[in-house]
Amino acid sequence: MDNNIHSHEQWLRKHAASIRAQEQEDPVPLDLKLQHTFCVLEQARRIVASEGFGQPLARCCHLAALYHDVARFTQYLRYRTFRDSLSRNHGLMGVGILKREQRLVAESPQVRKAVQTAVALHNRFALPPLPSLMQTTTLVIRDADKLDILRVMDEHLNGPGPYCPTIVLSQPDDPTKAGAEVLKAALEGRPAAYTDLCSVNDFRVLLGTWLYDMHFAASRSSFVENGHARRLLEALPDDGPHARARDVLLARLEHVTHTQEVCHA
Amino acid sequence: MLERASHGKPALSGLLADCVPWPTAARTAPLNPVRASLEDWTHGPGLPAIRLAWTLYPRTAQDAADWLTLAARAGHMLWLADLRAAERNLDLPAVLLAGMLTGKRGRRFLASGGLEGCAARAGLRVVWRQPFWAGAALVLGLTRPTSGNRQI
Repeated sequence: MDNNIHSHEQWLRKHAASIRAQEQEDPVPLDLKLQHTFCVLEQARRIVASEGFGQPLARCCHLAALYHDVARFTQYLRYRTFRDSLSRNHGLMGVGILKREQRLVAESPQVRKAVQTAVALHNRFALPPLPSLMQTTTLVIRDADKLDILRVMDEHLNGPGPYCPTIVLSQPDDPTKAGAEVLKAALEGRPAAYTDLCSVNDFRVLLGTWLYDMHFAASRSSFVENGHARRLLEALPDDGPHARARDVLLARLEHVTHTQEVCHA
Repeated sequence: MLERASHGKPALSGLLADCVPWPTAARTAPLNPVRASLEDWTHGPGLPAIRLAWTLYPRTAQDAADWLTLAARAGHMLWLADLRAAERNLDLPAVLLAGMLTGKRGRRFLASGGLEGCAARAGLRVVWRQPFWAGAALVLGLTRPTSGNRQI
């Protein structure tokens, strides 16, 4: 068993291209999703290498990273949104696409089940108990996914031009709006939930709470060293409802920088 | 033209076909024609539409794709009803139950993507889609692919 997934990468590019060709209005979100897919694969490769994972775990992680958002292209084409609550669970849909296109028939049953499980569960708020290979694969993908989402959000929210509303799940950019549960999660040292978002600034705080949802030393290091979370949080206003949560999260980032420990609630 | 068991009574698929929420445009189309009829229709201009209900999940993946390809040559529009893979959390209980009730053949069908998988392998274009039975089943409207047409 080796780490060569080139044929899978080729298929994914063709799949994305065929859906993009059908998009008649705004294909930019599809381009971003394709870029995101390969960035998550890169993050997964780093985690796998840094943690020293052998086979078949390494192969499971690489394939799951590549396919984790395979349904996003169809989701956008069909429903014009990336919000699962308004369309479909893109994790489950992704498994359906993998089965439909028989992408994993040449893999061992062990790899196939681990990859399908990781794709199905990568977007769940919490994971059920899982066998070891499935759990580790899923956790690698969740960490890699979050690390790249931070990059995307940093580029868009802190960039020079206006951002695409789809990127922030169409949350209102109103600095006075704050979700109480999001702020509570930040102060209590646990990840916030997408369902509690009320504004773009809530999204910034939610992204900062992902520090508490990094499962590997390699992912925690990347979270801090990449600097995306810090920049997203530092852009929150001093006098708004998010200021206290911002300060707590920035202090945690500083603590992790110096100690490599994460204080969980 | 309905499939009939040897004793002359409608097959179960025919009875279950009555439970499918066919769109209005589909209701007068022939339902589950036998192979000989499909082959006959391929020799002429073809029928406007054909319906297939619960006839794909018992077949192997290749057999189902071949059957669909034949039906697509016989009719300009195909209306299919069969098992569906879950796309929402709410679909999971019904899909799991359907897998249990239809046995190994149903589970094998779902493992290869269900009705959507079947249609994709036959190279047909989905123009209409309606889940039912709490997400365990699906009605698809399909046509032969032509360039520049949009897949939904």
